[in-house]
Amino acid sequence: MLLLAFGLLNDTTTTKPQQLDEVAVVSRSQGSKRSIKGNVASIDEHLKELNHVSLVRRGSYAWEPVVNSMQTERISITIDGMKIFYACTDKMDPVTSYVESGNLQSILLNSGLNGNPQATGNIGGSLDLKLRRAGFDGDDFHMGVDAGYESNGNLQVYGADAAVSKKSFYTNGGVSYRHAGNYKEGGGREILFSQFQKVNAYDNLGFRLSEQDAIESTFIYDRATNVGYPALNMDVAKAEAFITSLSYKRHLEEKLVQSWETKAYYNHITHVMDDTQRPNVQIHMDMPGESWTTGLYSLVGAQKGIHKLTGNYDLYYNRLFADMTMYPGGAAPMYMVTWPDVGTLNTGLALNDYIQLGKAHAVNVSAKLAWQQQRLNSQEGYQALSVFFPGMKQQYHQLTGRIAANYQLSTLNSQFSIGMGWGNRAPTVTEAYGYYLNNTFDQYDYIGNPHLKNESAIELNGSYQFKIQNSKFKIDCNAFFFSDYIIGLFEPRLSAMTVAAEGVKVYGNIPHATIANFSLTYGWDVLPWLKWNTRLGYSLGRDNEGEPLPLISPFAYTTNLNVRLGRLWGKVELQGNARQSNFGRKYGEMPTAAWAIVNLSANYHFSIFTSQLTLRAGIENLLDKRYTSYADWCDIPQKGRNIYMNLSVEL
Amino acid sequence: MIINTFVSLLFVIFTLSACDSKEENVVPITIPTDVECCSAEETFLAYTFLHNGYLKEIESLRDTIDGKYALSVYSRSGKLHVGYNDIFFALTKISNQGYVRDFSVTEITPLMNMSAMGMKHSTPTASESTTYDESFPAVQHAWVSFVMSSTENDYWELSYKASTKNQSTIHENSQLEVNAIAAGQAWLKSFKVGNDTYYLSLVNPTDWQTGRNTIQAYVSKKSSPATTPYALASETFTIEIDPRMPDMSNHTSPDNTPLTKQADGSYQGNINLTMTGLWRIHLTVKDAEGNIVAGEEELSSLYWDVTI
Repeated sequence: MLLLAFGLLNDTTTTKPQQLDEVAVVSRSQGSKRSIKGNVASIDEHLKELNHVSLVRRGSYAWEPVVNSMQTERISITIDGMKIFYACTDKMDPVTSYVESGNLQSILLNSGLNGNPQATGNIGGSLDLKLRRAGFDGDDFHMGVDAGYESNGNLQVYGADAAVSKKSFYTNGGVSYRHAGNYKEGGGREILFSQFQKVNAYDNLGFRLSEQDAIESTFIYDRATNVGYPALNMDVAKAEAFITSLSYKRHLEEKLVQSWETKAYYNHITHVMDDTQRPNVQIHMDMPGESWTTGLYSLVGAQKGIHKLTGNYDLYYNRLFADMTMYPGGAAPMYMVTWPDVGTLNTGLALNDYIQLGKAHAVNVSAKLAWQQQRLNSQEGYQALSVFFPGMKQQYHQLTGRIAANYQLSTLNSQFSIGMGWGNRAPTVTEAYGYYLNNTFDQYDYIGNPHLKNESAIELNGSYQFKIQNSKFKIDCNAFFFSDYIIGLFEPRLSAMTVAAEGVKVYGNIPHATIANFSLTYGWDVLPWLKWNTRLGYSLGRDNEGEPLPLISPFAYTTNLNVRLGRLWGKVELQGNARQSNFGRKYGEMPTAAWAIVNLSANYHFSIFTSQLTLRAGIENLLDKRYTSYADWCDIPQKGRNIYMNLSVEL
Repeated sequence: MIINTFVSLLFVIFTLSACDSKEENVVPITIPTDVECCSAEETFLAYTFLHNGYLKEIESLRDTIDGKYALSVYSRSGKLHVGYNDIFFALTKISNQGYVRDFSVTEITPLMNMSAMGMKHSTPTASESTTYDESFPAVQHAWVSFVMSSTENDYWELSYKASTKNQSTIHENSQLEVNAIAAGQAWLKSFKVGNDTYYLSLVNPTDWQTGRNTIQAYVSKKSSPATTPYALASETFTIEIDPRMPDMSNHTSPDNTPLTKQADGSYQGNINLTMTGLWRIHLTVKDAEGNIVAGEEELSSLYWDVTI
């Protein structure tokens, strides 16, 4: 199910709240799920609020979103429906790092296989970062300024944006700047190489051609420099993205077709790694990577009786190139191609039908079919990989698809939903054609396997929500049963390349794997001004030998008290994980200890003349506890005590 | 006839666009119809091969046969270095500038004069030329693998005999400049079995690229007397290779195959290179019975160095 651009041609409007989806509202309006830090929060901090999402940290910046315990390989991330692919072979730059909170209206999460027709290759779920557009019906003129500071790491965030909205034209744009030094863990020790700095500028335009149609465009420029990654052996000198799109939207009054949008887009990412800041580098390496994507989609929304249909056709071409030059002191440089300039042409057709069976129940069915062709354009990269896979081809194609259905039943006080689906995905460029990519998690060099089979999964999910007097309970669970699960497998016959690596793993398919996630949420309105919320979560992952998979959350809990007194709102929160007893030992994971932290936050909303101001302040990790979670790459510690404050002004 | 004119036209275009305008051997504008000389197509192929930019003439080795034919000798960049060197010969008829098809170069004798020690010795050599490529018989090929470089006091000389069907000439010792090989390269190694010394000459490893490559070498035996060119060893060996990157904790590649003796006397195997840089190819030389005669099993001290 999905938030569609129905009705007028302003930004997304919710048709009805849905259970499988969650929305983190990033923009100014007060939403139920958004980071307590408000506008200056990073996208990662907004993502943390979503139920099915966790984040893998390699540093203080650019965390990797994980949906239903599945990382980037198994999920789809789009920006306003546009495909975009990260450019770093070490996953230092998930695509969420190339936009800023100021660019976004909301982040839409579809859990599992069901949902977003614009997602391709998603098994765990899909995230669509919806851009903020002023629309034709907003205030004539609007301006906002944000400034924030955090004590741990001396983080400073500044942002300004403006919007002009007329009947036939709108534009909104802004700039922001984010800068932090090294942060400190609990106890005060500084975590070296955890600094970052980022600049972002964007502009959206809209021209109304008639009562029914409009043209819209987007431009985003994002540039991060001098970014440190304490969990890795290298940092980033520059990570830069250009994101542009042009779309045509039409609102129809027809009996059947109600809306139609066609968008063409282009994005280009440049990512340059840097090891010159690190001491004791045995061999200096240059490791640049680039990603280009151009594509289009055409989305149609229709209504026929009890059916609400969405159809989407998409086509994109993506090119990924990365190489590595090593400079051993004195001797000749060593060069190899790590992503062999892979060109992927992918086209897909998706169909969603939301059927309102009656007042109380509905069924949502979604399906997608996609075909893709890949070519290794680097002759040198192709020849290098052929040493390990003699006789391999230079061109491959894959067919992928998914189909899922979900049934919802609502009564006065409860909501029940059950769903199932089947889907498969093609291997990523790293899994199929990656060449000697070092993984600091397990200290192995990974080589891609062009002969991998598509990975497929069957999903079962269910949730039940009910209200009793002033409290609300919700149980949510899902399970994914994989076939041909893609994972790196030990290859003792091969020799590692990275100095001090343990050995080589080659990606392969294991016959089965299972991932399951459970969560229980409880909310109690104790008093009109006092709310108590609790969330408990647990996940498990097993491979075909019954061994635990890595990066699966142990038992996790959050409980908080929210107080609202007039314009002042405050929260006390306890957050923690149990000891990770099921850890992926076979995959090089180390267990993490149990931890718990206390957070305090408050915000105060007031107005001066016509301006609206919000002042937020809080203390994260009040007791300055030193801790690390299962999702911290190489067990890098989380922040110690952090006092933050920020001010948002809207004129 | 039409083909001839067409090729001549191509020749004109080629001449006018040739980079090396200092070429003394003027390119013939007309192809001579002479039994001894090459056809238009053969001439074109020979010409393009000799002017492909890699080869250059070694002018000190130039000679004539009976005043009627001119012999030119070519090597890569016109230079020679320690280890294996390709040498190409082309014979032209002075009267009509045509390339001659049937000729041979024999008794190729390189000689090192060590003036300080008053000693002379030769080096592994292909003493007789062979036709390089049957589609253009105008070019003859031989090779010389120099065991050392020229210095101030020690110099190399080369003599040969060039023969057509009816005539021949002996080119007396011309001095040659043999350069030391660049750092990160070591393409000639030797080993002793009893009183015999053998030489392992690796052929053109700079032609290698990342991926799978053919590795070729010659095994020569020191002659007695040492002033005779060292011929190919008559014994049959197997040269096992273990390519490693010493700068990369001895990273190695999979599926390398040993060099085995081929019908033409050369040794050939397969080497896989996972990246560019310095590769140290450790060698274990085994005799026909499988006994190790040179080098060791693990990270042998006998090795070639190649930087690609």
